[in-house]
Amino acid sequence: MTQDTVLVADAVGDIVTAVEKSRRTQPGPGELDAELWTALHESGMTGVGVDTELGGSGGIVHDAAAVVATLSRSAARVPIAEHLLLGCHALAAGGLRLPNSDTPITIALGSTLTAARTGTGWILRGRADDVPWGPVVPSLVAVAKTADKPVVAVVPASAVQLHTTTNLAGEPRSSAVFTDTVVGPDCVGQAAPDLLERLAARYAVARALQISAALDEVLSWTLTYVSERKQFGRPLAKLPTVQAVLAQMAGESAVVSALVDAALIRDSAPTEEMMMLAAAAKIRGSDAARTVARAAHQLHGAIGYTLEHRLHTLTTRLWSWSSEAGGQAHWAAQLGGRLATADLWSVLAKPPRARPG
Amino acid sequence: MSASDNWLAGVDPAFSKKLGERGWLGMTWPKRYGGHERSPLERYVVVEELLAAGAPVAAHWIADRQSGQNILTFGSEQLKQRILPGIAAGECYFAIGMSEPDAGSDLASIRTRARRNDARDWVVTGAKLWTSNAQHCHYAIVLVRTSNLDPDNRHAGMSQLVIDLHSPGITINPIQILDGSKHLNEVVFDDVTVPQEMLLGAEGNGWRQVTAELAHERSGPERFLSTMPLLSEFARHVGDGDSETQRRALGQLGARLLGLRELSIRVAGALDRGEVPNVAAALVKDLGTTFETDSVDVIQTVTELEPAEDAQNALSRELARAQLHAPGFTLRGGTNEILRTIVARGLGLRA
Repeated sequence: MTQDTVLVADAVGDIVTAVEKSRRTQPGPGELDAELWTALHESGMTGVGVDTELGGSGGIVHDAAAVVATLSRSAARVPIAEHLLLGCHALAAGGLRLPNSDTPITIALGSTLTAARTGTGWILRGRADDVPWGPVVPSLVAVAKTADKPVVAVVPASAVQLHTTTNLAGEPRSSAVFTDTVVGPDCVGQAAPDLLERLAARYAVARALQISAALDEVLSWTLTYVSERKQFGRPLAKLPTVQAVLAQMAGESAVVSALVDAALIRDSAPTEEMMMLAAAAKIRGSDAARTVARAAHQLHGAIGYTLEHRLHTLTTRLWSWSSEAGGQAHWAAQLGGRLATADLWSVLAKPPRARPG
Repeated sequence: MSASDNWLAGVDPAFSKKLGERGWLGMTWPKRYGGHERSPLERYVVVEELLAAGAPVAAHWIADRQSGQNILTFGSEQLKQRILPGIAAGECYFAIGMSEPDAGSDLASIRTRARRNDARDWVVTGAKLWTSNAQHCHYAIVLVRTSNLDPDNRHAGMSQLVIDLHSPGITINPIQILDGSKHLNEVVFDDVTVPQEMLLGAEGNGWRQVTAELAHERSGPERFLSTMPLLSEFARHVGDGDSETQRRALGQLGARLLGLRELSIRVAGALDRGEVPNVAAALVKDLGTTFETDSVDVIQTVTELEPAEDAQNALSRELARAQLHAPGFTLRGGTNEILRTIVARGLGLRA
């Protein structure tokens, strides 16, 4: 991490701690932690990595990633990944400003979502299958296909029909039906032809980043637990079988962290190169999420799967995040299809890239 | 000829010499020792390309990867001038003198001894085992006891000697592995005299030096690219067919490989900054060699091809070779079980 990213992560950590101390309401399943969002907004954290010209606070994608990672390891009930890494990014791609910077936005992606011009603006039809946090945000950033380039449209959540389920961690997940939804010309921008593909990849990286942060935290909790918990007259950590499991957890966490970092470095690389690292990060992230969650529960014993213990706040997220934004099978088919060539190496191994700054 | 595991089993001195002529050995070393002062990332790219092609690089591999680096870090000026230019030219090859009959992953229990004679030179007695390509090498860096074992400090009293493998008193006995090839050896030292100037680094500093050397040995891309020729054949096979199962399997393997690559590049960066990232290096080797072994199993399972060294089908041949070499992947350079204890120590779980 660069110095700036470390500072950003520390500042977000401080905000989380302060909000927890003075909390008035406890958000439940399906709800937004509005107190935390307000605190993040007031310190400019909800605009990190977004151009100041578009209403953001500036900074690079790694700074935004630091905000997302810190909130993810805290199991915060805020759509920060969707807002910073997807919604704001899509707005920028369509040349649009942040609508209302004190409330979060989310993304609405779907292969059947289309847009067509009407006299006054645009009309959106079809379905976005994956709208995370849909019911708690005032606006969706929808990306729709047209006869020409795709368009980015800011749509009030009240203008679409949401069908919502709740993931294992209590985060709302919706599909949105657009029935001739009319959007004014000021709220629509045209984007580059490959925006949908790139956003799908960025979505995978965003979830992999959240997984990576949670893996790191779960590993740390587990290390603490096995060092304190005594059985047979000594800490669990002294058992060689326990040590071997922790080494495996550390390995999984390290690989996902390296892949997420590599994917972020290639965020603006040509689409194919960016896609491959995104796919790899999500495949390995999903895999590691399950391996590490299982091992953490095993090592925590029965107390770890009670609601009074904190472990579930991250393992439920790991389980859900592993299948969201495209699960392992989806991305494995995508990546495998690209690698199935007579010259595997030249497709697979783009030159290594160093991180900027 | 391209083949899986060729970085250890494919000896071709003419090829090594050509690489030396192109400036692709000793790439990061100072020019005054025959090096080329390139960045570690540039070296990484060259090394990867050679491995991906399954090129026969085994003659110079150890010398370029770790022995030269070890001499550069710890060696005397005289030793550097004498040895390094030959390695960079692709004409001087090294073997690793670590494991012994009763000391595999547990290096601190080595018994090979070196004593000073009246002329202050060293006299070495003992045996090293699993010494890859010793029969083709000019030298070995040999870990020896120069003081008796101290049970309270098992890591003290060891030193490293650069030993000319053509010295009187050395016998090299080849050992066949499963496919009949003979890259492994036993190297026996029977009162071998080693000139005092061939001591590498300081007397008694052997453990620290060997730890630094192992970080180079364990973290490179050969720890996950040994089976690249097999993977390449598999990718061609998947492209020619229409199996979703095989496509997903290829995607899974590709994702694992990309992850290992990024981790390995991180370690290369840390080595370049002068750190000894032995925990991260142990991780790369554990995960990387597990991946290599898994790739044989996965490809075998999803293709249901019968492995045969004399098959018409290239993928069947690659499967056979990789399968017969696979048991070595997770052993050489320290067994994966021991590597996990190094990781556990790094996590603060062991003293």
